[in-house]
Amino acid sequence: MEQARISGWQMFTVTFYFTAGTTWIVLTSQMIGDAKQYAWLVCIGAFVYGLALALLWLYLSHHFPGKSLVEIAVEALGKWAGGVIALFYILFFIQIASWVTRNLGDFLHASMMPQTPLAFFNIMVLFTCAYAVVKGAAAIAMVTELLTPYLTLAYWVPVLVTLRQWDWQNFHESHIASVWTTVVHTRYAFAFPFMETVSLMMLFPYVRNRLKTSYLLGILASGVILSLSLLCNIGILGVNRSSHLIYPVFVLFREMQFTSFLEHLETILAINVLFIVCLKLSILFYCAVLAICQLFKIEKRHFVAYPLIWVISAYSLLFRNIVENVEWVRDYLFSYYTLYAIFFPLLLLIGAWVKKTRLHGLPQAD
Amino acid sequence: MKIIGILICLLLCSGCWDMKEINQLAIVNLGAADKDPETGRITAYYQVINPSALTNKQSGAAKAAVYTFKFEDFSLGRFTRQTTTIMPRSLFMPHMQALILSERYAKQGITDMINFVELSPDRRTNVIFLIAGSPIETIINSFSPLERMPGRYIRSLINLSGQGFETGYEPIRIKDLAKGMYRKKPMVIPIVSYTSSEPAKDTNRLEDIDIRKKTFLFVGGAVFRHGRMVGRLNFDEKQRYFLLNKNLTNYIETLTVNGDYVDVEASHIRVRRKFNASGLTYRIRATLRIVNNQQTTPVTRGNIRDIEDKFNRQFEAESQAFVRMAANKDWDLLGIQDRGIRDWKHVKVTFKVESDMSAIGNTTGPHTFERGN
Amino acid sequence: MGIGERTVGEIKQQLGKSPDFVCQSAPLRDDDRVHCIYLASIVICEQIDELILKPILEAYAAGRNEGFSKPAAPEALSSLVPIANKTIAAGTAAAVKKLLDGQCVLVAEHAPGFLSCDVAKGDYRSITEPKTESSIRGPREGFVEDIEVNMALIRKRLKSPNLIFESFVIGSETATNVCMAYMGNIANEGIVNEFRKRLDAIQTDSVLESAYIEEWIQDKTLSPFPQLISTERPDGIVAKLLEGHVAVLIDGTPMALAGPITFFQLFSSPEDYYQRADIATLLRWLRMFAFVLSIFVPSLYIAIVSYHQELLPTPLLISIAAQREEVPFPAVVEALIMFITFEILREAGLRMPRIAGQAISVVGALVVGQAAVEAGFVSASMVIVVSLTAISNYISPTYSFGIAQRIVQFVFMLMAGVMGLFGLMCGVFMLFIHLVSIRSFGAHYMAPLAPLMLSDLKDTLVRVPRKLMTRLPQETKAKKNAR
Repeated sequence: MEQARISGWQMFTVTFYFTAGTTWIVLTSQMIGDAKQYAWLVCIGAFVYGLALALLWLYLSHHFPGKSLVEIAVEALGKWAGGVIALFYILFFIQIASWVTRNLGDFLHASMMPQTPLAFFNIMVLFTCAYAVVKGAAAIAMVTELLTPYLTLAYWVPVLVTLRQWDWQNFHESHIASVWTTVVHTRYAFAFPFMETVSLMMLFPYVRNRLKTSYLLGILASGVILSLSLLCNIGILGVNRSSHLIYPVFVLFREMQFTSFLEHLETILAINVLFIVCLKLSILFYCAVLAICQLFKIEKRHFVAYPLIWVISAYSLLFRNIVENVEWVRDYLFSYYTLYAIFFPLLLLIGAWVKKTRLHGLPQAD
Repeated sequence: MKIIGILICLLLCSGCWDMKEINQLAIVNLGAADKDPETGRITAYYQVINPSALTNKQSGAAKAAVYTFKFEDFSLGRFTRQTTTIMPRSLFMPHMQALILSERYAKQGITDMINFVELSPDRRTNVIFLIAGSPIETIINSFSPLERMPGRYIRSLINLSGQGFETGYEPIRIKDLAKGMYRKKPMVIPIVSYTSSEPAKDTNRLEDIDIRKKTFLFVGGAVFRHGRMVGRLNFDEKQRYFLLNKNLTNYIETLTVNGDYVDVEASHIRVRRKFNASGLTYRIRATLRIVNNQQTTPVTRGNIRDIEDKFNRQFEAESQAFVRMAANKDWDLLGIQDRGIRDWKHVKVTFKVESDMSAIGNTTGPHTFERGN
Repeated sequence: MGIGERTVGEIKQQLGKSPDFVCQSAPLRDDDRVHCIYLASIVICEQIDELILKPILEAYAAGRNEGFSKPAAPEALSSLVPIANKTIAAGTAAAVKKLLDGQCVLVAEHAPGFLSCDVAKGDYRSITEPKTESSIRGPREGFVEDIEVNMALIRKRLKSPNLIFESFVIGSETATNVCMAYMGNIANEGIVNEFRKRLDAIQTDSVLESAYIEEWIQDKTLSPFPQLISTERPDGIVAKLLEGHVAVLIDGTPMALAGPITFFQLFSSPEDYYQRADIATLLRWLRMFAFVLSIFVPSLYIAIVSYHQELLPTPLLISIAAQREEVPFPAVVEALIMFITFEILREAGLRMPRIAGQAISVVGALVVGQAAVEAGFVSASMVIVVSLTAISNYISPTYSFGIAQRIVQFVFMLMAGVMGLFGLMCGVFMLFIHLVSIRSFGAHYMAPLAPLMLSDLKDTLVRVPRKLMTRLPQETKAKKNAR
């Protein structure tokens, strides 16, 4: 394990971009389609739920200070059972990484460069992230810190200018069936992205100070920003258009008009999205590589990172098109993530508790 | 190290799938479409820019700045392939300034066109949308003086006429149409027509000094309900529609005060409407500025109050006339149904107008002569 | 044969064949001689005559030498020679080294050991304005090739007892004097030790320029970005010393090194502190803007013109399309041709003898300029892009940074040519990762932006007036906090 140090502010930005990551390009239209003009409330509910889960994970990590997720698993449940759980987590990280790559590829393919094959996008962006992974967690955290001001400004300044086109009428147009069915239908919003933040437990040992504050604040901030984005989408584009466009944020930027020559601003958003996805992918990739290195005791990261490019790239081409992706996510994502985000940590907590009681010795009467 | 070298070479040789040479692009500036009501066949026109004719270096006779291509097919998606049969360059739509549809296409419903534009990644929903009052062939096959590209000509006209609007431009983009399709309030799209029945097919046209003989002209607006054209409004009615729907914030009104004409510009118009038990009340405030004063009496406080009163009453009268016209034609132009009221025709609408004169121009009154000398 | 004779014989064997080798013998006593050996090209012969031979011969003539012990030892000679800088040593190898250093070696015939006196001729270029860094306001003295003069220039400006010099001799064949300087009460112990360790660890045959040392002591990163600043100005070095940096002077070159540095220090020149704070801030922003311009303008141009034509406003698109009508190459190839041509011109301009320099400027203007456009090889907009970036390349005060800029520019052009904006942005991300992970003697390269050090921002992005600069920069981890 390298001796990297991540400061509190860096952890905050890392958590923020990890959580908010691909949400801008995925599932926005789905959420607005299901929850109509209350989609932003669903998002608020989702991040409260995410905060609760984060508290659970922080509690787990509190029992094993200075250890990453894989090491906790091995320590709490022993080498074999813990190793199996660690393997599951490795698969989990690789799965999310391939989804992220696929989302980015779909986005660029649909919006900016329609002729390029998807595999090429995948390999380019994975190669970039593999380079970042080899340079280490400190490098990734510092780049996140460096890019934060630019990304924030580049997103919010145009959106604030477009607020001129806000139309309150958009909030009165559609009707939803009932609260409970809506919540059940939008349960993928609870899963993605807030249940993915369990991956950041791999980075906990590196954070020098203020782990709890930065982690929780990061999730809070990303939840708030996502809700605001959804609100802007509904207010400016309207429920009907947002739900039938695949990338409503992109169209929002495309239709902005400042002066007669500054018209095509969607590239700024595309560049932003590319950077944010690169950050999220680097972090995920790093977690996966670190997990593999810790489980199999490999010293140098680049032996694992570069071959993993091909694995993730191939796996991301699993779904044949974006509709299959969206439908799978809508139906099964919540159940899939519950395994990793709730079930396994609880298992580890139980294992830790059992070990502690056995260690402190319930006095064996003999 | 070797592996990195191989990878880099592979990367560079992989071919740039999306690379397009600028000279291979046919930059479409103006698009038009027509649909035959009996056969359903769509005729598409693309007006393509000729770049070398537009650069500053050219001297001598003016060359053709644009060329028009015409295609006919039964489905919108087939045009991209059909264009390769005649066009020597590949179609490049992102710079299209305006899309003109014929009146008979509009009357059949334009939902298919809106769907198509929203779906294609390289067509922009920022495009201005217009209805043609004259035959499309005439409009699309004409050269325009002063602005060498007709697309820019039309776009400039729209920009200038949009200056009075709150958002800086008229809400007539395809995206506004897409939003408005779901509302019960109809949208109003400008109608562009041509001043002559003969198109200006030659660049000789550009040598003629009288522009009005053969040029584009904006006449009123077309009323669209749920994506289908249902009627026309003249220029005044179109202006009133935008005024009452809080889009237009300044315009010029002519009043008759004491038997003479006074032209005022009403600006910073603020419209507030309230629904209550008795009906719908509009409260309107405006700031006036005298543009032309032909009265024989000098301008005093009393006189100003007269002008303001006259403005208020005229505004009210014309608005009431507008409301009656809308009810007669069954167009909910004020958007009353969108607030949830079903029986919109019987809602009583009242207008309360207040205006303030802020500027009177450079003179305090007209020249006066001794009459009957 | 006496011991001394043998030593002299061995010395003659090694150096005797040179035409400037001189070995004179002077009588010390009636039965004792002393051999005076020196290399005539690097000593001041008059000093040898006046201060060494004359006292010996006079003492002999006056008979004073009889009082010395038999056989006469070098210590005895030492009392005769009125030169301040002399040492007594033994061994042929040491004697040869001293001879090569410009000292005069006196060997008594029958005694071991020798006395070496410092009569070296320090010939050096006169102190002039540095050629590579000129200034508008501020001192115009630059370092020269002699290390003692350089040390004098630094001492002149920094009259503090805390200024410490440590000297090394590096290079088995060149035996170059290398000198490390730092402020004992400001510089961080760890960094000083690191410098010392790395300088000691150098095993090489020659050190001809500071670049040799720089290659050996910089952190092991394969990176075009410089991790040590090289400068010819003594005032710049003194400013760096006062901030807690360590400087390295090398004999034989006017370029001195200073480190550790961060990326943002590559944009600041000592002149920033000789102008008013607001002007200096604007100039700094101009330099950073020129950096951004030079790496992004050519690649953005290529990416937009080849892949994303929808980003251009329509009139610009039309005019570029009209210009490119007759050009046969795609934009990437055109750009590469232009840039490589410009690099050839630049290199040729450096090597061309000054008299023929006029021809180059005329040919250069023709090649790069209007004629190429009219012949239809390149388009006019490409000429503008190339000229703009070429000029922006020279705006950095550090010359080696300009080269790094050019490398990054080329790489970005290639990536933009292959994958448009997507490739360019991947390249930018990789550049960020690369910059952030460079460590210059332990300091983060991108400090104070990453990791964020708020108090250091006062002197990187802006230059606040000196009244507000109350703390020393954190990245050098200096010992004291306040200026």
